[in-house]
Amino acid sequence: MGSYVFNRLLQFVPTLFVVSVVVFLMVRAIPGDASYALLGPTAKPEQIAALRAEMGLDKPIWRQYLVWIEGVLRGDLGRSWINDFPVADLILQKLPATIVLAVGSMVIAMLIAIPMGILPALRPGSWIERVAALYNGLMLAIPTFWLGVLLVLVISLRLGWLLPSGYVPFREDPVQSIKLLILPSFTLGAYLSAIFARFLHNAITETLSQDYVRTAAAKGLAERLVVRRHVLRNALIPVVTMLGIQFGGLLGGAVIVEAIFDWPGLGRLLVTSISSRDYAVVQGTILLAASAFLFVNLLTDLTYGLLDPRIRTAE
Amino acid sequence: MDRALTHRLNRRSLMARAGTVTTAAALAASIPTLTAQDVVRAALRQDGGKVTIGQVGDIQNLIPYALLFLNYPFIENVYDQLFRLDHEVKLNPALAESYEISDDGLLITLKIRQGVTYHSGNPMTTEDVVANLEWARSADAAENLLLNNMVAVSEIRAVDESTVEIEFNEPAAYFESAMGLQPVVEPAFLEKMKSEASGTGAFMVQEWVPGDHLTMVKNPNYWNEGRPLVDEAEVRIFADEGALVSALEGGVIDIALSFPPREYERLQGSFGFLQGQPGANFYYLGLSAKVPPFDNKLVRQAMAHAIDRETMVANVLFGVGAPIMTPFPDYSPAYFPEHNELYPYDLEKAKALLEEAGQGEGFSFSIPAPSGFPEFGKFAEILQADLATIGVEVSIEPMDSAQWYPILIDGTYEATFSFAGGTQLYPTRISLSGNFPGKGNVAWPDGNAPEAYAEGLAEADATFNPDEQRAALKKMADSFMDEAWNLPISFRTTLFAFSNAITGLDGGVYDQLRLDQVTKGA
Repeated sequence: MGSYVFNRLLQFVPTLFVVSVVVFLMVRAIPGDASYALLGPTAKPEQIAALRAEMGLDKPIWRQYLVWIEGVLRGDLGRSWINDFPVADLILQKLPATIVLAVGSMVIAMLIAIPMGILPALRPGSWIERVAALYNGLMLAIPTFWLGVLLVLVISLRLGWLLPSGYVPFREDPVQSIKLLILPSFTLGAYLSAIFARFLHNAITETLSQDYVRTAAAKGLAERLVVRRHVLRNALIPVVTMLGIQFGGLLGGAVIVEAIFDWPGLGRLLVTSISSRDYAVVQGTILLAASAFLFVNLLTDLTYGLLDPRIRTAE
Repeated sequence: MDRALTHRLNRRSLMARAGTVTTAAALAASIPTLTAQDVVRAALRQDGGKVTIGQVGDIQNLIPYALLFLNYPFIENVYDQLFRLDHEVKLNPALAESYEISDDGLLITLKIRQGVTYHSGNPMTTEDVVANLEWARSADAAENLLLNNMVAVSEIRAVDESTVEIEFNEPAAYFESAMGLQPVVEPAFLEKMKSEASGTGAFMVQEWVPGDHLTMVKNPNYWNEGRPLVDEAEVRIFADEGALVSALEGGVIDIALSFPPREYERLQGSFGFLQGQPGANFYYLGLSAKVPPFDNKLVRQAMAHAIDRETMVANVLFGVGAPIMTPFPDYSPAYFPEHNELYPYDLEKAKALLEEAGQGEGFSFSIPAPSGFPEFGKFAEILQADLATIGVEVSIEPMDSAQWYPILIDGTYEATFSFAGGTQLYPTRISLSGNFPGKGNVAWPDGNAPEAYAEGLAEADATFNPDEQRAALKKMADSFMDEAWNLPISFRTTLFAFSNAITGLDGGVYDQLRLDQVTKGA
């Protein structure tokens, strides 16, 4: 197991190198740079030139990359051109809110997906399956931004049950923190729940048709024991895969939901820094998101071993 | 819309305070120097507490010299200026109590207020004022938007504990109103003011989380005793106008800056609204006189007749703003009423001018539509439809704002909508934007704007005599209108929206947020 993890971590290096080069070149391929964004449309050309020189943007692109990557290898992601904050500090400021939203969305998604996936599979052709199919279809079809705006209009502004936006760290005010988390988590989680529910439904249906499941039922085991001991663990593997992919993606930020609910996550930081061509922030944030995605997928792979001893033995 | 502060009480809050109102009204009757409205407001006012402000777009940095629109929420609250400009663009005492201009216009003497301390507790001195003025003269400071006000300054010196003298190579009439923009930063913070603040203002920066919020707390040692009236002010950053509006409606914020005009009609009965300073910004259509056919004055004048300003203000700006022919507000010494008659919306007249210019068969050109300024795209659609009727084809090019900035600043456009400002100050400050100066003008070949325009600017800058100024400004304004390379459309009016609990809100001359008189009731 240890060598497996070590080898997987080693694979991160070439992947992150490629990511660093791609993001470095892509952000510079977009017309305009931070000097224009910082000084605004009323600036004069000589002011722009002075600021570009200050930022090092007049140097060859390969030199700019070397300066940046050398800093990254020393643990220095650089500083924002816009506000002069260290990029690492900016990311760390946003990370808690991003993790909270990702976890909250996953919790809501699983709370909905588990019954919506298991029950219809166990009761094919029933009204349960029809309701689940309707729910899944709706949640997959409804755009996330539309659902978010609808929730704000109805729940917050019309009914006044919850505030429409904002974030409070849990340690400052646990109750308010959870109340503010509900709407954005549900907005993201609803869509995810439909994906997970369909995966789970299909996996359980396929597993139920396996010989060992029929054997267990024929031996007289109660349905819930058959499902818990023999069906779920095997059916969860594809769901865990999807869970890992989605969670890794959420750690990169959820731009639209963060905008609707004024949630101070990495998604907003990324969009703002792209708009203002704040190169160091864009590069640092995407490197972090890529690293988080790789790490979550490693954890996902390790989880397979817990679910299926055959995978553990093969490793 | 009346730009004056409108304070709206809802029925519930009014009934809850009926007793206080009755007492206040009776008191008002016995004190002849106060109006009943003043007393009612004072009675309803609740000092202390926290006011929350929302804006779309992040505060860029904490530099008071970088007069960026997104920085306005903190500039005049954390930093005082030498003088405070009122809405008549008159200088009022602030960190300087008075000033004198010598007869030859080459020396300005400032009397500096005594007993002022920074947020750090250190006293402000005349040497500090000199250090800040010298910083504004610094050619290396790329984010110093006051640099152009210092070009004529030859020497700055602290004469004694209360006197600063500023010497000039030549008279600089624009410098007078510029003193209303000059902040005083504690000198030890000048090199790090991008992310750290120490001024003398009514509020101190307590915490700044870029992209999320800026928290300011009351300065307990503020020189203007009795101010501010609230204990704390927080500026929250939103990524989206819809989220900003929802936050105001949901009570998450008390004040919304740059409130979207399209929501004004729906919410005008529930919230108070304040319009910004006319002239602080204005929209215009810029034409490049470097490229055909806009190198022909007749074609540019034809474009001026083709702009349906009324429709643009009504449909794009939802009535928030005012159609303008001249960029100067009516209180400006560069405002001449006859300019309003020069280019009425008249497509037939536009067509006739095009034929006279040899463009009767029509032509085509492109206009950028930057994503950060959606109103430009909508202006372009209206113009496109109108010009199509007289044989001119306009293609609209959507693009990212950061992609548009170089096109505008470097002057590589054929035509572009944009906005400029500064006409509320001394009128020659209009020349600080790239396609407005007399020399180095990106809209003209070799950077040279029309001679009469450039001469008018220079002559107006070089005299403090009001009659001479007026004559020079007329020369400048007449040429600007005649040459028609930048066509004003409307004032770009900042709209502040606020809850009924808020009183005392003021947007400064630059539409900065001023919170020192704000209170928040229950």
